[in-house]
Amino acid sequence: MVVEVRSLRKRRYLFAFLITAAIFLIGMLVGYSFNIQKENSLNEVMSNQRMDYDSLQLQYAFIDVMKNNGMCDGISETLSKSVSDLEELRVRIENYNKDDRFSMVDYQNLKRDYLLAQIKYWLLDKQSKEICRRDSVSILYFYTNECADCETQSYVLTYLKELFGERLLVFSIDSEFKEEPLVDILLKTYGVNEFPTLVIEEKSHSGLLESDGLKEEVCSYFKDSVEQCK
Amino acid sequence: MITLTNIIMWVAYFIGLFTLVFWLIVFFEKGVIHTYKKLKRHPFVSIAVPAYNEESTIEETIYSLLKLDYPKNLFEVIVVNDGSNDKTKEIVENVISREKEFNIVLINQKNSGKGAGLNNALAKAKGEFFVCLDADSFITPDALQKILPVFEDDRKIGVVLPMMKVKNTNTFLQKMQWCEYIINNFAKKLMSYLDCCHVAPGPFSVYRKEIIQKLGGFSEDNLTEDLEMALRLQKHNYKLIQLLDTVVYTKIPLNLKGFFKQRNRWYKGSVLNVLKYRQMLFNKKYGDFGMFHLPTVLFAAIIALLVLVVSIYSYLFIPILRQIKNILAINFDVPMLMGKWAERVSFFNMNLMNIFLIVVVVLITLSIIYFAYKSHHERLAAHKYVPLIGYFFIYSILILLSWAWVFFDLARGKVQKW
Repeated sequence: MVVEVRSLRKRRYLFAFLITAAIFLIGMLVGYSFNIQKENSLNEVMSNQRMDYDSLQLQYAFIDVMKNNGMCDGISETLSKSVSDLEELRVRIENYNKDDRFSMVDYQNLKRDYLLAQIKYWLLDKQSKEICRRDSVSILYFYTNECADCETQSYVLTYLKELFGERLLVFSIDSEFKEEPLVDILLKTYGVNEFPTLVIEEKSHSGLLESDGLKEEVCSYFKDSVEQCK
Repeated sequence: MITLTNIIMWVAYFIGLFTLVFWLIVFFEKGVIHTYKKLKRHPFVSIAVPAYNEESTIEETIYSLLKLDYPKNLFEVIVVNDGSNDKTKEIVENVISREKEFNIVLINQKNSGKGAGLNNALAKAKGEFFVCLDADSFITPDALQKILPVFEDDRKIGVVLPMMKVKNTNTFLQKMQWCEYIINNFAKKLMSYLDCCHVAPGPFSVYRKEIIQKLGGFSEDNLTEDLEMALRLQKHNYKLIQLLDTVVYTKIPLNLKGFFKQRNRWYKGSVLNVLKYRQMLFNKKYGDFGMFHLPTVLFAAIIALLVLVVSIYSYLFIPILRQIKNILAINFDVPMLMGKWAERVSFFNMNLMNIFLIVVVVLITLSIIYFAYKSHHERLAAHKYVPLIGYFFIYSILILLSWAWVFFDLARGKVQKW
């Protein structure tokens, strides 16, 4: 008996594989070149931020030297806007890292740049509060990417930021980012070992704070009576 | 960040794209071959019509056979009444007494299933060719003239299949199925170029009688005896040829309940029969069929289901759960954040690679639909575009749900369900 072996044209499969692989490759290239665009725009935003910071810092120094509190209102607004822009940037940088698997090129540097900016603004906020006697509350927010409640905490903070506007400043610190030694210093200073942790003014709260509790806490720090707290 | 979800989606995508590209290559290589050959001699043909409670359609079915463009004395119609408890028997007897110049035979058996009925007919059949026509299907007169010449090409051809079209297109579901049948015919045509057909559907499949008798006739305890026969023919290296030159019209379920019931039987039958003939799976001896197509039949459903489960879980379930938690944490004061969300939907947040890959697959699928319609000389606007769009988006979900039901049944050991 003749054993029949049916035809299997390997060339067709190879051809199909090559075409499929080529489509994939083109897809990756498209994604990669778009990522370069994204990174460029992120870098640009970052360098603008740095310039804004320098300008703000100078403005405060100017006020301090001249003892001219009349200019404070305008500058406070700028400070608050810069901090929320920075927060937008954080969201962007983090989404960018979540979505894209191929380009981590400058991610670490970008992130470090951002972190430094956050801390600089936080310090500037502290100094300027004394100079201008601004009635605002600042929160230092320590989070990690894995922690269960951090996403909800971020959500609540975004919500409160919308609510209080320039009276609330939020500084988000990725606590796993050990490339920046300042992160460790901050963690130790405030004795943070649980996430999320919120440092409201100088008082530290561990665990998720929902909008009601957080609102109450924030309100207790305002000197004037604030409309949103009623 | 690369997650398990990503890996599953990519592997599934790659396999899916590869399969599409492969069959598109086959299409560009071979085109659509039509048969214009004339029949040289007229062999005797036996046509079996298994009928169980078919009083509403049986007469029309028989008359569609009597109108065949074929010498009256060279074909017989064998109606197998499978223990009907309606008027099927009387109607057939009436037709027999009216149409005396035709060879119409009625076999009454006690209810024992379609496979047994076909075997009964096979035992009585006098023809060189054996045809099976479901009682809910209707043929066009040129069927035998178009189908029989194909057998002259090759002694190894075991069965020739006409193209199937949907007869009743009243509901939206039926219109979507109409689209599906067009695309399936086209796919089976491409498969038959590489001897990869794995199913010989009930309606007017023409068998070489000698071959199916040698293989032992139809399986009697099978969910899908037509598919089982096709796989058996494949196992013995006989050929299955799909034609796009003659049409058989078939009635299909009009609502979702009937649809899911039918698909449950088909898909369960295909899984069980592929497993029954698993020795052909990844068997080099069976060429393209064993190495590529049969595994596709089995794994396509598994992969598709995996994708469905994974995407529902990680793109629907988890985000919704998270969002609920978030909204609870801010006491449902959602309007406050509306503006914020609008800001975040930007070009920047898009993943261009994924968008590109999705666009490619959509374009390839559309081109296949276009070629399928063209090969049938159908306009894309037949039945308007809406069912076609529905087919594209909704139908795949219905198919996946039927598969989910099949696997659910198989998992709890519920195998035989008609």
